[in-house]
Amino acid sequence: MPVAGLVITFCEDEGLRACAVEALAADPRITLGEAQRGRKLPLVTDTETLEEQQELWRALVNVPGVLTLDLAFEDFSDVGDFSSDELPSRWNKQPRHPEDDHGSA
Amino acid sequence: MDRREFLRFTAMTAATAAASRVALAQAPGPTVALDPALAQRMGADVRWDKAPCRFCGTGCHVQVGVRGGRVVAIAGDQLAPVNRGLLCVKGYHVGLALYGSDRLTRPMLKRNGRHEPITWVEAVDIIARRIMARPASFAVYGSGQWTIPEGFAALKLVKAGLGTNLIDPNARLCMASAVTGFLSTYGVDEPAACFDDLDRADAVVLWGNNPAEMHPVLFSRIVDRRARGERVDLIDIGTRRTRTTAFAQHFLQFKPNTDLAIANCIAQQLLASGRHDPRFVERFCNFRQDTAQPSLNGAPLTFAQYRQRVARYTPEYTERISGVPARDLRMLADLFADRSKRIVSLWCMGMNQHTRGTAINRMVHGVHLLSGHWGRPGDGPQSLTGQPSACGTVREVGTTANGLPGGLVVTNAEHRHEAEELWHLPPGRISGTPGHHAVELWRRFSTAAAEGGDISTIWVQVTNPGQSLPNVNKLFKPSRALPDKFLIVSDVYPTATTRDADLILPSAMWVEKNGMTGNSERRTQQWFKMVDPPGEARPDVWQTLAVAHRLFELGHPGMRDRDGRFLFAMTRPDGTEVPAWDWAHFHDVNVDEKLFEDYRRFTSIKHKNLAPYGEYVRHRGLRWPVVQDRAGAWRETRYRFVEGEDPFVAAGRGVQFYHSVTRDDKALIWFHDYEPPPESPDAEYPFWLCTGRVLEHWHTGSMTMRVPQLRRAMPQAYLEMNREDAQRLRLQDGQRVVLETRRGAITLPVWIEGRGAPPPGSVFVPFFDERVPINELTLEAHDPISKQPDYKKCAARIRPAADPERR
Repeated sequence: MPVAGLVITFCEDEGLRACAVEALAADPRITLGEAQRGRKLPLVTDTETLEEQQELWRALVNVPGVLTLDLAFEDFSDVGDFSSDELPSRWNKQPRHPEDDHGSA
Repeated sequence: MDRREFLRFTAMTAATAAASRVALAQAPGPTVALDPALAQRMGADVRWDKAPCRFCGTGCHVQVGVRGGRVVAIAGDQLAPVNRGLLCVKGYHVGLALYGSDRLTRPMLKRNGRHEPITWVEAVDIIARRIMARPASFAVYGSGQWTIPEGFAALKLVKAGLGTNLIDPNARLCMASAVTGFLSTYGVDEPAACFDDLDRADAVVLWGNNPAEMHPVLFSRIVDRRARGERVDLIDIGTRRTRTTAFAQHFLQFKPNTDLAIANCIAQQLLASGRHDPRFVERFCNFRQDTAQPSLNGAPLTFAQYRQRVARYTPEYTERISGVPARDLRMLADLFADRSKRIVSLWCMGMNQHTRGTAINRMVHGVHLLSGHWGRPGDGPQSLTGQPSACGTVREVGTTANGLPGGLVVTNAEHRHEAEELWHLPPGRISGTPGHHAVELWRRFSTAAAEGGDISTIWVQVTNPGQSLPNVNKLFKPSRALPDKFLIVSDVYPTATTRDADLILPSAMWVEKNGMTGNSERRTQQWFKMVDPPGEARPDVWQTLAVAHRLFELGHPGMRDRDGRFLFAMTRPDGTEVPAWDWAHFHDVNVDEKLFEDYRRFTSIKHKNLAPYGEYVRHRGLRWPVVQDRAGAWRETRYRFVEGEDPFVAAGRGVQFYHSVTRDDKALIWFHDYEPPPESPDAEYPFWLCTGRVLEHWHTGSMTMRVPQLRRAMPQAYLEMNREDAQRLRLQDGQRVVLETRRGAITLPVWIEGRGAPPPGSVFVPFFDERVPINELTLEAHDPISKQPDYKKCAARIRPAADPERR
C-alpha cells in the first residue's frame, strides 16, 4: 500500500483549476493539502498497489488544468512487490535480426 | 494514529513543505546537519540521513529512511539548495534501485564459457598477477559515477603506482567537449556560473538540450517561476521537438551539425549592427581560431580578423545552411544584443556528442563573451552533466588519460613534479606520456596484439561499455574472440558488459558505502554508508586498495613510495597503521576521508580549493573554490572569476580570468567555420539517426530497468518517427522495423511522434534498453580535440521487419 506526497502545479486558468481540484477531491485515494501561493497544491496518494499508484499518477497529469506533477515523498516500506518479476533479462532477449537481416550481429 | 495515518501525515507534511518552498522560491539555509522535522515525523524505528541522488549531474539531495538494515523510504531533502525538497521520478525511486532481485553477490570467473563463483582472495590475486605480467598493457576504464575517493584511488593506482596513464572514463563519451571548451576559453575547466542563475535569468537558451526529461528538477526550477507570475522565456534550439519544446516560446529547428553556423550568425549580427559589448570585449577577451591541425590553444586572431571571418554568416546565409528561418536568427541576435536582459545558455549531450563539440562549446561561450552576457547572476553559459560525478571525479580528480588531480596534467613536467612531491614518489615515477582516450583504448583492446592491439586487460568500474560505447561491434565485441584479452568488470547488476566479462566483481552501490560526488555546478557532496551491500558485494574503492596491496605483496616496485611505504598506507590518529586493504579492517577507518584528504592537497594549485571532509558532512554540498574567511569559516563560491564572489579575483578587476590561456587574464572568443558532419544521409541511408535518453531511465538502464515503476512507465526502447515518414513507408504505430546503418542493424517498434517529434527524415532511439542495442549502429567518429564521439547524427535506413509477429 504505497503512500506518496506530491506537489501539483496548476495552469493559470482559474476555471480549469477549480474543476481540477474538484476532480481530485472526488477520488478517495487522494488527500488534498492546503494550496500554496503560486498555484502549488500538496497532496497525498494512497493506493493498494504500485501499479495502481502509477495509473493514478498518469491520470493526474492528464487532468485538465494540471501543468506538472512533482514528487516529494515516497514510502515503500510495506510494499512487497518491488523485487520485480519482469526484470530486463538478457536471457529473454528478443531475436534482434529477422530472417532478412544482413548479418551484422 | 496508526502507521498508515502516520505515513499519510508524513507524506502531506513533506509535500506541503516542498510546495511552500517552491511556491515562495525559498532557498534553504546552507549549513545544517539533518532535517530535524523529518527525523521526528517518522519515528524512532526509521533512521534518516542525507545523500545526493545516485543518478544525474543535478545533484539533488534525498533523505534516505532506513529500517532494519533496509532502505524503506525516500524523501526530497527540504534543506538541499539544489532541489528544495523535490525529486524527479527517478530520484524518488532511487532507493528501489538497490533491490533488484539479480544483484551480483559473488566474484565470478569465466571458465569454459560459464561464470563460476570464486573467492575474493582468488579474484584479487588474478588481477594482480595479470598486472605483474604485463603492466604496460593493463588499463582502467572508469566512470563519472565513480565516487571521488573511488576515482582518486584508481588514478593513484595507475599513475602513481603503475607509472602509466592507461586510465580513461566513460565521461569521455558525455562531456569531454565541454571540458576542452572551458579549457580553451578560460584556461581552466568547469562552469563559472551555477544553478542560482536559473532563478534569475530572463531568458534561457537551450542548445540541443532537453532538461524537461534529462534534468527535470532544474527544469521545474525554471518553469515554476512562471507559476509564480515571473516571466522567463525559453528558446529551444534543437533538431527535434521534445517535452522541453512544449514549454518554450520559440523553437528553432536546425539541421544536424549546423549549430556552429547559428552561433556564428549571432556574432555576425551583433558585430554588423555594433550591438556587441565593446567594453567587455576590450577589457576581458582575446580572439582565436583553429590551426591546420586542431589543438587546444589554436592560433591568435585579431578582432578585425574575427569580424571578417563571421561576416558571411548573415541570417539569410545561415538559414540556407541550418534551415532556421532568418527571422528567428534575428530574434536570437536581438536577444543577445539586449543587455538589460539576463540570459542563461544551457547545454549537455547535444553540443558535446558532436564531432565539432569543442568548437560549438567555445562558440557558445564566445556569444556570451562578445555580447557581455557574462558574470552577472542569471547571465552566463552553464553546461550540464549527465552523471553524478562527471565533474567531481573525472574533471576534478582527473581520472583521464592525461589528467592528474586538481586540474593538473601529465604532459606538464612541473605538474608531474608537484604530484610526485605530494605523493612522496621517486622522481620520474609519473609518466609524461598520456594514455589512450576511451575510443582508442577500446579499439586497441579489440585489436589483436600482433596488429597493434597493445591493451590486453581492462578493468571496468561503474559503467557498461558493452552497451554504451559507440559502434560496439567494432570497439567492444571483437575483443571477446581474441586470445589473451581479459575483461574485468566491477558492477552491481548483470549487464551487457558483465555478460562478456572474464572476471566479474560484485560491487556495493550508493548508500551501501560511503561516498562523495561533485555535480554540474562545482558542488562537492558527501554521504555515509547506511545499509550493508548484499552477499559478498564490496565497494569499488576497497577492490582497488586490495589489488594495490596484492601487487605490493608480489613486489611491484610502484606500490611503494620513496621511503618504501605502501602507496595507500592509512593510519589511525595514534599513528598505527590500518590494513584497510583487508576487508576485515576496511571499516576500521573512514577510507573515504583518508583518500579525500590526500586528494584535497592538490586542489589549491589551480584554485579549485576544497574544504576539509568534515565540512561536507555538515552541508548539502559546497561549491568550490571553498576557502576560509578571516573568521575561519569555510565559504563556497557561486561565481568564478567575478570580483566579490570569487576569492581569487583581485580587487578592482571586476572580472579576472586568472587562468587565461594568453596569460593576460582574458578569455578567448573562438571562430570556427561550419563544416558538414562526417556522415550524412544519402540515397542509400536516407535518415538522420539521433540517440539519447528518456525521463524514466538512466543511461543504459542497468539500475532503472530494475525498478518496476520506471520499467512499467517506459518498458522498452523504440524508434521515434515523424508521421509523414511513417505514412510514406506504410508503417503503423508499434510495427517492428529493421533500423540499419553502415555498422549494424537492429529490430525495434516504431513510435510515431511519441514523446518527441523528429522532423521528416530524422529518427530517434533511446539507448537505455539492453535488448535494443542501438550502439551497434552508432558512429565512433569523434571530436579531434576532446576525442568525444558523436552519438547524435549518422545515416540510417528503415524497412519493415520480415516477421511482424516476432515481438
